[in-house]
Amino acid sequence: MRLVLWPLFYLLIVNQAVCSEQRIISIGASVSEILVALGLEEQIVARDVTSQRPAALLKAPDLGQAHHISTEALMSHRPTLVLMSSGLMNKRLHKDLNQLGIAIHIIEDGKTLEDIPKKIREIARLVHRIDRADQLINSLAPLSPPQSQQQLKLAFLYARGPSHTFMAGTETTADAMITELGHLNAFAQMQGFKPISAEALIKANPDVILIQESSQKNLDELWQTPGIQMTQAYRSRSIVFVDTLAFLGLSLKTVDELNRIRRVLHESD
Amino acid sequence: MKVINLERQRHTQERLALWVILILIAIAFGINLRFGLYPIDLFIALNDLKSQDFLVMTQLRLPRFILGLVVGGSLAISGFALQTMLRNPLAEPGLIGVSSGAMIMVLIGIVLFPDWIAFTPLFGLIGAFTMSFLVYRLATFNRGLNITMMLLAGIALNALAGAVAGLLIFLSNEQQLKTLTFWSMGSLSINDWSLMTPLLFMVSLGLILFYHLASSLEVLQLGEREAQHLGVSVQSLKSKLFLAVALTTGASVALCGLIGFVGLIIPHITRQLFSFRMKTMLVMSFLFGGLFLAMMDLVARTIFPPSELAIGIVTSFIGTPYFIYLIIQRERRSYA
Repeated sequence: MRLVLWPLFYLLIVNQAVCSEQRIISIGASVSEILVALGLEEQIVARDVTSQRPAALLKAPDLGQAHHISTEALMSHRPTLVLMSSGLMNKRLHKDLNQLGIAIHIIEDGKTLEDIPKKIREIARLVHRIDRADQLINSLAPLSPPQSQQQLKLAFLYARGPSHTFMAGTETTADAMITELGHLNAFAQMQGFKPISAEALIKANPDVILIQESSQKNLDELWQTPGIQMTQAYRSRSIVFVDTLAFLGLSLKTVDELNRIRRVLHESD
Repeated sequence: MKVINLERQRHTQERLALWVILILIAIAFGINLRFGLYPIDLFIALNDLKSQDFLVMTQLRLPRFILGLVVGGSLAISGFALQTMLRNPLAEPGLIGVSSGAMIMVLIGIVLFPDWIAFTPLFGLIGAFTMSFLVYRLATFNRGLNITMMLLAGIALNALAGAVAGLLIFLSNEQQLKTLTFWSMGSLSINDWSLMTPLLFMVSLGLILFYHLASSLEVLQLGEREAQHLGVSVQSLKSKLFLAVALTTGASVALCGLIGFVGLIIPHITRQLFSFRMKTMLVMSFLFGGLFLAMMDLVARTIFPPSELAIGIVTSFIGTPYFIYLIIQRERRSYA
C-alpha cells in the first residue's frame, strides 16, 4: 500500500509545484479571460493591452500591443509559459522565445461558437487545470433560440477613429456571429474588413447596423458617414451597439452578447 | 622634408581617428549588451552560460548590435559614395530606387503571398535589385550613366512605387497592415543568423567594391572631365558604385526595413569632422554610421518601456531637423 501511495503523493506534490510556479504571460483578451476563469489570475505576470477583462487582469503589467511587444520587456517578467492568441500572432516574438527556451503556445482563436469549448480545453491542458475545463464549459450560457423567423440584413461596422470605419465582409468573425444569430451579412459580397465606401453601403442597404459601444458618443458623426443616410438602417434608426471584445473575441461572454443582441433586435422589431 | 612630415602627420591623424571610433564602438558594444528592458545580472550572465541573462545578451542583444553596425554602416557608406559621385549633399541611397523597390516587393509578399512570410527579406532583396536595375537602365544611354536621368528615373519610379504600395495597402487586412507598418519603420530585431549571414556576405562584397573604387572616387571629386583626363574610367566607376550601393543598401533594407536619414546625415557629419583620404573617409563613414545606428537602437528599445519604438522613428526624429538645417545652410551659401 505504501508503495502505491508514495508515488501518488509525490506526483501530487510535483504537479502542485509545477502549477504554483507557473509564471504566465497572456496575449489576447479571450485567452486572458479564460485563464482568470480557470482561477489563474495570480499566475499571470504580464498581459497584452487587449486583456482588460475581468478587472483582476489589470493588476498584471501591460506589455502593450501584441505586435509591438518587446522580447526583452516580456523576458523581464521571467515567464515560464507564454500563451498567445492566433489572431495576435507575433512571429518575431515566437521565434525569439523559442530560441530562449521559453514555452510559448499559440491558442487558435476559432471561427464559430463551437470553437470556444475547444479553446478552453486547450488552455486548461497547457496550464494543468483540465479538471476545471468541463466545469467552466458547462457554466457557459447556451445560445437562445431565435424569437422571430425574419431574416434581417445586418452590417457590422468597425470604427477605428474618425474617417477610419471598416465594413465586415465574409471570412470575418463578425460574419460568423451574424450567421449564428440567424441573420444575413449585408456585406456578404466582400471578403474581410474593407474601408467603408458610400456606394457599397447603399448597395448593401442594411436593415440594422452593428457597431462597437465606443461609437455611441460619436453617433452624430456616424450618421454623417457618406451613403449611410440612404440605408434602411438610417431611416429606421436601427443601430445596435455591441461589446466587440465579446462579439469578435469568441470568449466566455460571446454567447451572452449574442443573446443580448438577439433580444435587442427582437424588441426593436 | 616638410612634405614628408605633413604626410606622416596625416597618417597619424587618420590612425588616431580610427582608434577613437573603434574605442567608441567597443564602448557602445558594452553598453548595448549591458542595458535594455531586461535587467541583466552580469555576475549570473558571466558565470552561468545557460542562464537567461546570458541568453538575452547573446541571443537578443548581440545580433542586434552587429546588425546595427552593418546596416548603419552600409547606409552611411552608400550615402557617402553617392554624395561624392553626384556631388550633391542631399543625395542618399534611396535615390537609386532600392528602398521603394524593396517596399513594393515586401508589400507583394505580405499581402499577396501571406504563406511566404518567412521569405519577406528575399522579396525585399529582389525588389531592391530590380528597381535599382530599372533606374540604372533608364538612366544609361550610349554615353553612359546620366546623373540627371538617374535622378528623374528615381523620382518617377518612386512615385509609381507609392501608387502600387497604396493599392496593396488597400487590399491588405489588419494583420498584414501591422506587419507592413512595422517593416516600413525599420527594425533590427531580426535575431536570425540564417538571414543575417547572406546580408553580411552581400555587404562584404559591397564594401570590397567601395574600397577598390575609393582612389578613383577621390579623383572624381575634381570633376568628371578631370577624372577622365587622369585616367579614370568614369562610366565604369559610376556603374560599379551603383552596384556597390545596391548590394549594401539593398540587402540592409530588405532585411531591416526602411531606416531613414542615416545615409544622409552620417556622411555629412563624417565630412564635417574629418578631412582624410577617400579610403579612410569611406571607412570612417561606415564605422560612424554603424555606431550611430547601434546607439539609436538602444534608444529605440529602451525609451518607451515596455514597448520598442521602431528605429526608423528615432533616426527620423534626429535626421529631419538636421536635414532642414542642411537645406537652409545650402540656401544661405548659394545666396552668399
